[in-house]
Amino acid sequence: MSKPFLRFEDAGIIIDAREILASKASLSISPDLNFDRRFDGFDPETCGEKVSFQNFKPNSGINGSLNIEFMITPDHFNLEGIDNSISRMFDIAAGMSDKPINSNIVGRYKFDNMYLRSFSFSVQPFSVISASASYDIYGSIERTVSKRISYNKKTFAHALKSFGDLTISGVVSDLEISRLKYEIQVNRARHHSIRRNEHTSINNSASGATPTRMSVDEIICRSQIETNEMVSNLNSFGDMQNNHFIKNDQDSSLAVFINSLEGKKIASFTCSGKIESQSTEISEGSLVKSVINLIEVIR
Amino acid sequence: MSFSNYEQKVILDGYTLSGVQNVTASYGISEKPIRAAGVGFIDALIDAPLQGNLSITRTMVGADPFVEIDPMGKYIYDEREISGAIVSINDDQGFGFDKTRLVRYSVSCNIGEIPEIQTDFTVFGNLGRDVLAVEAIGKNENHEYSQFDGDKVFFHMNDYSVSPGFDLSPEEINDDSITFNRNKSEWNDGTISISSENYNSLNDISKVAQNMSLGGLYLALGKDAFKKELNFSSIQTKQSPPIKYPDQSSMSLYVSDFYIDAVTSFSYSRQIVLEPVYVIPRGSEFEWSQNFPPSRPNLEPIQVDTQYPIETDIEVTIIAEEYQIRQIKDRLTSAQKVGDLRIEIKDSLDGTIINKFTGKSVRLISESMSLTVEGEMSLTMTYKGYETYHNDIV
Repeated sequence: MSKPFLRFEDAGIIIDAREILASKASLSISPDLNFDRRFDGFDPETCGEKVSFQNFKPNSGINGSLNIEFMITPDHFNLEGIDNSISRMFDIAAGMSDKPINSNIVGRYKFDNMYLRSFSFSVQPFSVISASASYDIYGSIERTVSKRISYNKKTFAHALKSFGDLTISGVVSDLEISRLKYEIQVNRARHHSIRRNEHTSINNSASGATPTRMSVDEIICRSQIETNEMVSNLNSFGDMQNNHFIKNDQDSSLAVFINSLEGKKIASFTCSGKIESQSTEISEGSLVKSVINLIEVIR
Repeated sequence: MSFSNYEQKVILDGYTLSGVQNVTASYGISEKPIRAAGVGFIDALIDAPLQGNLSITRTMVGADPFVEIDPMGKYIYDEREISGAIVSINDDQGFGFDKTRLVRYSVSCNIGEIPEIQTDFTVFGNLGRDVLAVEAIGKNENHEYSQFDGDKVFFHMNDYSVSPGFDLSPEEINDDSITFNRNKSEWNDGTISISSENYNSLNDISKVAQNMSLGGLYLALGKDAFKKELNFSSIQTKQSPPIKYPDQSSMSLYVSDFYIDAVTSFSYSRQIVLEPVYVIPRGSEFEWSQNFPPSRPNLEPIQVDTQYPIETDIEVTIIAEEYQIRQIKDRLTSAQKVGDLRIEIKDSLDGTIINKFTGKSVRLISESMSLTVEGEMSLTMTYKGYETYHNDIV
């Protein structure tokens, strides 16, 4: 019996030619279509113009997105034995590269020209720390042979051995953190060079017109901290202003130190900036919980 | 060493419990399978905090400390964290548990029986051997070198290997930080003492060795030279209530639904739903950089909340005499509360109350009728009440 549907166990995910232990991946590709409607002569019945649909037309090149949820392992963040040296798959930093991530395979499809859009992870007590990454893809996909991942014994980031440190406007906070989410996001500008995509032969390729460069416009880091209380005396600058003598402009920061279940160091992340918002919720059946959102502008 | 059924004690919150028939203790790890695309199942990793369960069945042979009421009329064990242990009769062996909360309390009784109390607990803290035990480490009098005629006695620390023919300089022999010199007479007299920290750092086996250059004979004490004893007697801090027995004539049930119908059995139970709150471990960058564990590992809940209302279920079986079962329509249209339902269990000798159970503002929620060829017709009525955190229901 043939097996036209691919099994989960056979649908390997490879990004930047490196195997990823992902629990979920969703790949979508879509042409950006518009409808070509035209005025088409005189209509004697309405004494007006006739309008007819001619065809679909692309507004821009074919593009898509990839979202993956994966387990954090030390080799994602440890290159050549250096801890916390984040590889380019999840590299979002001030001096990050503009180059695309190529040699990607998701199940039976391979593609190039992928750019990281966001990376996030969440930590809650006693749980495996899973991360998410989102990418923008420019160009089309191509069918390939699916890959199985050669799994060697790996360790995974786990909340049991990981820990956090919260400082509110320069003061070490005694707030209890019941859950946190860390996200870093990059916004890019698309560039197409003049003449490169003008020849009609470009339509003979599935990928069509692809951008020449995706430059980094801004990088924003956000962290969402679920705690027992909100920050008191929050001022318009996003700082805690507890006195009337001097303006407090010290940053608030969240540091997350991620270790594996065996206690091996994996990576540390910091979000240092201002309190963007905070809220509290009283709801039937649960304790009163507050959420503090920190924001840092990296670029 | 095994515990025979005559050699066990159950201690909870300082009380040695009476009438214990059965104790079940367990704990379990909750795991989450990890699956990855292209691989499938990889491993199963811990996904929830470790919690233990303890279930105790007792016959009611005295006042039960776990129905103690505070001045506001609330059961104090609805909110109180307790600790305890199951120990041998000599208090020298057993296992303890701390940060424990009552989650279910029930009493049931049938004609011809002494009431049975079932209590279930959840352990949020530690559970196991040595928990709550006071540790005492003394000389092992049966040791091979119990009386030593050599020159020196010292602790055989596991970072210092002693082999026959070993050589120590005079400075090393006299330096306590290197050899942990001890007075030989203390060892021979049995008055030698050692801290738990030093004991844990000892090699397993004691050795006698000769110093080749100085000619001295030394005894290097290992773990086998000491006897580690546990004692649980210090956790028995409260006087257990005196033994009292009820009989059928000393139990009373008060409810406004019926008066003269004979009660053949009853059960009373309270289910306490708890919500433990766990938080993420807290530590500093310094601790991370030095590979130290976080200063606040937060392995235990920082808060355990009782979820209100606490539901009280009372089931009463009577031999129908005057009582008339209601029509369903009556029940729907006038589901009146019948007020408080009280069960009083008294001493059969002096009539003093042993235990009293109250269902506050209960409502009759079901009735069932049973007829058999071997007995009288019986009616079973189930009442339910709710207890609030504050603002009592009336």
